[in-house]
Amino acid sequence: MIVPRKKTRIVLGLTPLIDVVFILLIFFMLVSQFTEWRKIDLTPGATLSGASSDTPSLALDLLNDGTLRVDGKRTPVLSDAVALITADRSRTSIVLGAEDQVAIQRVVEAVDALTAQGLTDVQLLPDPLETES
Amino acid sequence: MKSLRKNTAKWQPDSTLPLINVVLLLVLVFMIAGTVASPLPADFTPLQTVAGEARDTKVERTTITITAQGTILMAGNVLSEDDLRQVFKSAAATGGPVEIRTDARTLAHTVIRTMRLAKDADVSNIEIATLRRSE
Repeated sequence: MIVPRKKTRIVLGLTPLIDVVFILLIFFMLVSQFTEWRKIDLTPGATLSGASSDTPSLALDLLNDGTLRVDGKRTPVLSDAVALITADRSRTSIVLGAEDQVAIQRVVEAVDALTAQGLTDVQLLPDPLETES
Repeated sequence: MKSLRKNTAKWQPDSTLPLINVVLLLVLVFMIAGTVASPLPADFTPLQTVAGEARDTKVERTTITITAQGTILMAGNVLSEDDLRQVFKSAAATGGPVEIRTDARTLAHTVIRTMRLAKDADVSNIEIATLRRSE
């Protein structure tokens, strides 16, 4: 005699799937980044444009107290310093120096301001400037 | 007494299915659109520039991080100056670029000294990583 098998309905448990998917979501949320890094070339002792500079240069110094100096002349803000530099048409090469407590962001801002005026012949001094007493 | 309530129990699709669909879509978005971030220190403030070029993301690069205090890290591990020289030497041997991710508050001369070490180790391509600042 054949006994008919009782049909059992298979119930698919979704809870483990949801757990795994949530763990994956949290993992990707934590390790992903959407910030787009860019690059600038700042090499000490070389011009930013990569060309060797034979033209007479201006000295732009970033000082610890937040002021700047263009060929020995002090200015309080970067825009004034850039205006002084652009006024001197005979010298388009700039030697950028910084005192020992100057943050890199200030150097980059100075390079940004100079590049915006078309001054790409910027040379970064490899050693800190002597601090003014 | 016979129950007046009709048996209305019918099979209905599980109400969690739309939730799973949405979460799976989110997972896909994060997998496709995001890139796996290398660890950065907790209080890291990236350098911001107006200028700066897009970098080639397909190139294999050696990334080092300089904190605001001047500590140099690679993949979360602190590097001594000798370790750094070794890292730069192997980067120069492979020919790939060296990317320096520095905190905006780091002293300029800490970054310049690091760049000089890279240059001394014959690294030809040194990149300073920045984020674009909107003017």
